Amino acid sequence: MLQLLSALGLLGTMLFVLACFRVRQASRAWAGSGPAATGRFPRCEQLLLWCASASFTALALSGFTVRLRDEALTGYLLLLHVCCGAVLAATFTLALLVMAARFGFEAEAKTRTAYSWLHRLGFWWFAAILIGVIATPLVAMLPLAGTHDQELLVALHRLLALAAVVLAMLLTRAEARVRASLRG
Amino acid sequence: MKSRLAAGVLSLLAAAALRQGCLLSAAEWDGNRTTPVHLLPLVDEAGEAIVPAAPRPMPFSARQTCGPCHDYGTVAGGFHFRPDTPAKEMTRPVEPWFWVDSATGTQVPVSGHGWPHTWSPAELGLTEWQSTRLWGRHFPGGGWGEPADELADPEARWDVSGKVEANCLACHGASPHQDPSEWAKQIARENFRWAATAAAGFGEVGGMASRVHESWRLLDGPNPDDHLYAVPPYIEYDADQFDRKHRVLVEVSHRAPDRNCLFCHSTTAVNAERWETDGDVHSRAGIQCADCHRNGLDHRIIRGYDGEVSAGQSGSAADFSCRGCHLGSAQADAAGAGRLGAPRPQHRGLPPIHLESLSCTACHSGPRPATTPRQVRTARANRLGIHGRAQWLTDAPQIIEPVFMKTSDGRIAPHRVAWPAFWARVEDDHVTPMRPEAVDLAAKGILDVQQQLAGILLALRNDTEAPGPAVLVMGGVVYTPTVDGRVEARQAPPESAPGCWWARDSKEGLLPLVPPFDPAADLDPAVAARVLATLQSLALWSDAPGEPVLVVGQTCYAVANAAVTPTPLATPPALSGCLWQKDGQLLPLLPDFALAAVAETTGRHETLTEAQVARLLQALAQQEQKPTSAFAYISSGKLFRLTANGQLEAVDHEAADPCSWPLAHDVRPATQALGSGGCTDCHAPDAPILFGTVTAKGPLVTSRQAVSRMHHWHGLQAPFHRLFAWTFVTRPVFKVALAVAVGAMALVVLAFVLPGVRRIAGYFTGKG
Repeated sequence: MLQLLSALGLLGTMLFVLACFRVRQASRAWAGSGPAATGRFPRCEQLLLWCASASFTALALSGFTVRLRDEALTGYLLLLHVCCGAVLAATFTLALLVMAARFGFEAEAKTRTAYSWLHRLGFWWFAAILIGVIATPLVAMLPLAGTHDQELLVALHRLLALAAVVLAMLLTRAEARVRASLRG
Repeated sequence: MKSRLAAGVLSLLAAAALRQGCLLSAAEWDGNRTTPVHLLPLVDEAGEAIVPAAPRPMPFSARQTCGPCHDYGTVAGGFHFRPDTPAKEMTRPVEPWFWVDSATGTQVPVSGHGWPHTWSPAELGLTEWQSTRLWGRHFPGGGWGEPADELADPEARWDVSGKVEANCLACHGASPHQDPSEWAKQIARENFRWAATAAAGFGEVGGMASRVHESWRLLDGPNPDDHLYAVPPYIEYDADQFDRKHRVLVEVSHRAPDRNCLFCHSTTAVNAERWETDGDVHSRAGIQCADCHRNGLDHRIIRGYDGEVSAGQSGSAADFSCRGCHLGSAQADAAGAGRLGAPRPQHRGLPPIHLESLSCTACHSGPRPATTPRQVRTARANRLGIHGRAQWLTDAPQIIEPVFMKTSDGRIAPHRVAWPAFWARVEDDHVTPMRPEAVDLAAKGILDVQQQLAGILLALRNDTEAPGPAVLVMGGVVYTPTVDGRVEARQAPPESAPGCWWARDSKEGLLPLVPPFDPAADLDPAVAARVLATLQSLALWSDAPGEPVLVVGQTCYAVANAAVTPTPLATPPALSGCLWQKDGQLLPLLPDFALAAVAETTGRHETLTEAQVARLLQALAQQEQKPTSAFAYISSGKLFRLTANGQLEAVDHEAADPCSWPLAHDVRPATQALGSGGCTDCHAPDAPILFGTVTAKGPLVTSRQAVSRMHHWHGLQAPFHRLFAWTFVTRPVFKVALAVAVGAMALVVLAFVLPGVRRIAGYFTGKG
């Protein structure tokens, strides 16, 4: 079962990377104008998203590849995984701060964004899941959880990571569509 | 008619039931938990009940006495009685036996199980008789002690000594008289068939089978020609222990008392004091060895390690491992945990990978890892627990713990490690150990330097008029003989003369053997008497290579016709003082290499020097008319051999690799487990469990021994673990950063999602 989920995760990661390329293609033609580009520092925002996407991809690949082979994450791969985790936590926190306004649910936000209600809901779900993905190893590192709880936390981390990959793929694809529609 | 038929059927059923009942042998447990009172007639090996008052009674036989109720054949198939149990039946290595000969620096790990880096008795040419004599002291009988073919070894004396039957009381004896030390002494005397009776305290065993002529037989009785030395073994039973029906209350315990287990399974750090030894936390809690190490009649005792089930044990064996009791085994699942009150471990903050990669013992058993593993002695290897006026323990083999290695299940576990040491024949890089007696002849004068020094000093003590016992002063150290024919050292007084000189240890301090005098003047009668007595006492040394003389200046004084006769020397001699004169040559009392060897080895565990090894390798080559490359000495993790130009070189060789076996006891309290001090107990750049130094030990004084780091034995990559250890320096910052990130993200999510929730709520109240 874990191997099947890991395979799904890897597939989702690949689709996510493809979707990122689609977003990039759409962004080139879009030239940074329109309702989606409301950020005050668009280049910083782009850099943050790029870093977050790269670290997210590295995390997903390192995590799911090892589980697919039914091995434990150890050695240099573990170090890479942990380092990428730190990068993702930092960059996504900042990206969230920068992008949050565009995905808000206030009445006036509707006038400032091109995102659908479902898209916005997905974004916040992704953010909530990512909090879980980051919080589970953090809790595991603290002297709180015993053996059984540690195992539970690891399982939760994996499942949330899988959900995050799937959501990231869908959201990126939706973003590409939004940008393509703006270009049109 | 019907009633008759019914009665017939009933009687048949009753007979069948009775028959069923009879099939339940006495060995099978009837369900009652009490231990039966063993008020038994003792039976000898011929099957005759023992009557203590009878003339020349026989010792009791466990086979005959215990066998009627407990099938002897089944019991004797247990692990303790079968030193040749194949390794595949045991899976995990056990401590090997060590063939130790201190005189030749031999310590060969021997195992009939076939563990790596051990030698089987057959490979070493050890017969069952020799194995019994070597190791029967800490062996409960059966196995080697009951050879199938008594005639296989022409040197064996089974007819005199009898066999060593599996001794039930060695483990189950609960009487305060049960004395394993007595067992060891009787085995050493070759009183094999008497050992169990003497150890149980049923009577007093006298005589020594080892001194009796090989033609002596049990029925021959006492030796009418010798009542002092070659006395055949005999037993005098303690009649008070027998009742009127000649029965004895044999005090036994179904669960073997710990003290019986510990006689063979004790391990103690070298130089540790008894009061410093805490023991195992389970023992302290009142749990006995046999509570976990259980067995059925087959005596295949549960060893209690993970994966034992796959080694052919029954499924319930897994319940008695650490995990089985504390976490619940796969068979018993988590609900089975807590057996015998075992607390469920918290392991808070411990990533589960640790439970997959490490055995429980890695963190909880043995001593906490230190920069260098400690040296220990074990009962079986170092002959511990045999009490009396003489100390039986040996320094060899040198065993160290804990060395962390991977077990067969891939987990890292603490091990005890010992390096082999032996003289070897080398043929095409294949190494074969030489038996100590094969080395003895060539080793004369090379390895026995301490004995030579002690011999000279003891010979000088025959001079009873001397101002004190003779000693050797060398390098600020005074050497004196010991009772076991070796020497011991103590610091010389600061005012004593430097260099190497023979002295008398008098009340006035260290004095020369002979008072100084002028050889040109007439010899003072008192000095002449000293010279004469000294030379005469030196001549009493049995290994003297020549005539003792005293050389002062250019004059040589020798004993002739009970008087000292001076002889002028033609040329100034290179040596002076007391010397040997052989074929006109003047020789020192002990050659320089011997004095150097004494200085290097006295007061140390090591017994050989590199110079001695080089000399003996040459001597072996000369003795067997072979090139020096045909011989080698293995010690300290290296193979030592002579190069073409006669230099001693140390090379790596598989035969020099150590043997190892996992340790499980003593278990420390959880508060002293590795990790109780935090992750940096193990994940630090200098953590002993990864970066401790493992230095090979052996009888050789050398600086070329094998030295390695602990991670080498784990099979782990040092650079990674050093890097990984450094991440723990920044880990607190990392945790704070992650917490801040999670907190900030949560605030943002709440800040933007809550308005959405408000809008939904407003929609339902009509205000949205």
